[in-house]
Amino acid sequence: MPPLLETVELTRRFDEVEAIRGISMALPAGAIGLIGPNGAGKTTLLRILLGLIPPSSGSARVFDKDCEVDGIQIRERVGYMPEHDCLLPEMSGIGFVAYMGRVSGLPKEVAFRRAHEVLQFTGLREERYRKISEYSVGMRQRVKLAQALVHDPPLCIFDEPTAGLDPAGREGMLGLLQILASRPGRSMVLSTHLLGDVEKVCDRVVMMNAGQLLAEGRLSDLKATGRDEVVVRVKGDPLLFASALRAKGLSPEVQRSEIRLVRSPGSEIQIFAAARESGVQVRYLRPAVHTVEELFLSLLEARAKGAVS
Amino acid sequence: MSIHAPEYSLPPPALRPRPDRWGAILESQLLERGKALNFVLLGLLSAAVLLSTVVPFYIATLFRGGFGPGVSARLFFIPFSTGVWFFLLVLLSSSVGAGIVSRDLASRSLTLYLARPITRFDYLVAKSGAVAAWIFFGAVIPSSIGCFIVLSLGYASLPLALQGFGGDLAVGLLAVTAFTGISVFLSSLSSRSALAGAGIFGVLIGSEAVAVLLAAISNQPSFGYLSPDENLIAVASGAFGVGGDPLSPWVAAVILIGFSATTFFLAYWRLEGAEVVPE
Repeated sequence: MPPLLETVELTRRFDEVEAIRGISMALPAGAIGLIGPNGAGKTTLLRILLGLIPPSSGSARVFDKDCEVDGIQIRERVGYMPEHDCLLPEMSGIGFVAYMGRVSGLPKEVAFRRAHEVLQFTGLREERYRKISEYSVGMRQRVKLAQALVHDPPLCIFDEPTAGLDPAGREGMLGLLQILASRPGRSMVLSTHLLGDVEKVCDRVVMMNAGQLLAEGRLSDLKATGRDEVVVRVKGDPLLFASALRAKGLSPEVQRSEIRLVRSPGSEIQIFAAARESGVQVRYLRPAVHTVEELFLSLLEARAKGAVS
Repeated sequence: MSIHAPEYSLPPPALRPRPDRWGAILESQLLERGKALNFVLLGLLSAAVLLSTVVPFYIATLFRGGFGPGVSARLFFIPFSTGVWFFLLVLLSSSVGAGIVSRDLASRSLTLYLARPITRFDYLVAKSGAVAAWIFFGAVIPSSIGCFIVLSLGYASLPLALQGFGGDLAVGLLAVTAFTGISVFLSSLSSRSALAGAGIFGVLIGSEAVAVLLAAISNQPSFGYLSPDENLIAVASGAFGVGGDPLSPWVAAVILIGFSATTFFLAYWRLEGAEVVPE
């Protein structure tokens, strides 16, 4: 089975600037997080995948179709939710979503029926006949989500879907994305700089920085490749406890009330010994779970060190 | 209330071909332009053209015998010669064409259009089609109705009415392409509809003023080719057998077609450079 997205030595230049630098990857169907800081090349990659701009060199394929040649066939099977506001304010929610369905190729009757269904899914059932200009930011985001789903595409690309939302709205949007990610036969690319969003929704991640691929793979596998660490929380003076750990040859990092240290054979016994010696009480001891953010930062750090050396 | 993935009540249909997709845009834009101001302008234009077509024929019929056989065909030229037709058509073009692309630039909905399975060319064709249809309603339909009225009232014979209809169609279609081209191009240059509308009006009226002024100062009538109005009048005078126009109708027609093609190309070029997914 061909991969959902595939790039081979993909490069895109804008005059002197190389926005994408020789990215090669093959991603299977599923929920894929595309993360990286601003200027990482995420948006340029999306533009190439949508067939809107050609690569300077290399190739990109979506659904085993060449993005440079088969842009229309690709966009027939892709729903795109842009980051920025892009709605037609004078239209009603239902009219806009149905209209976008028709521009995607749905017959008029089907487009309207699906627009009703998809607006119900996004929680805009009651407000669908109101003008978009009267919608709140959260409602606008939901209309943007609805227009991306109206033609029921096998692949949806969401660009910063939680941007500008309050905490409740963000949770609601992530909930919708989680439901969409769980649908069989449907894939998504979630482009964001909010790494927590990716952790909640995606099972695979593509990390980019300065136009280059930092890492790509299953989230669980990438997390497992991090350092094997344990986290200890103690009742008492953590600095005293840390000194006792250092005396035993360990390298603790004190982070507020927690102490993090690299796991080694017999380290647990030494931790309890150090606690006894420093007069603190161990409240919990657990393996450190790396967040995507930590992973991303450690990869950035490693890349920077590699560049220096 | 629990939420669940959308369950569509209809199975996924085969997507309609590209003409249906840009047809949806065309339909939407055509309806969106159905505003009171545009209908008022269309009404004024129709009234002006019908009156300036039917009344001269009525008067000519009253004095039948006093006019030569060729004079009647020339009567179809009257609506184009007064300047009212051109002025109202410029107003209509400014009104319907101003927001055709600029609103999509302002709302950034161009992103959504171009991320759909259509090309920039499809988008431009659909948008231009909506503007062209409205200008067609003003540039061709009233004069064609005028021909039908003079025929039905017995003011003109069938061959004469057909000649009038053919001339009206030629002049009207040239006006439709030229005014649509400039409207779409200027609308694509700005994200402010009012500015685009003022630009359309200014370019069309300004070119007429400049052409007339240069022709008068230099005593060179060929400066008239700079003005769409002068070119349309030259084509009309050729079509209805009115002599005396210093401009060649064929050259004028070629200039209008070239002007239309250039503005369409420029509008397409402008869209090529438009950011679809901004960084």
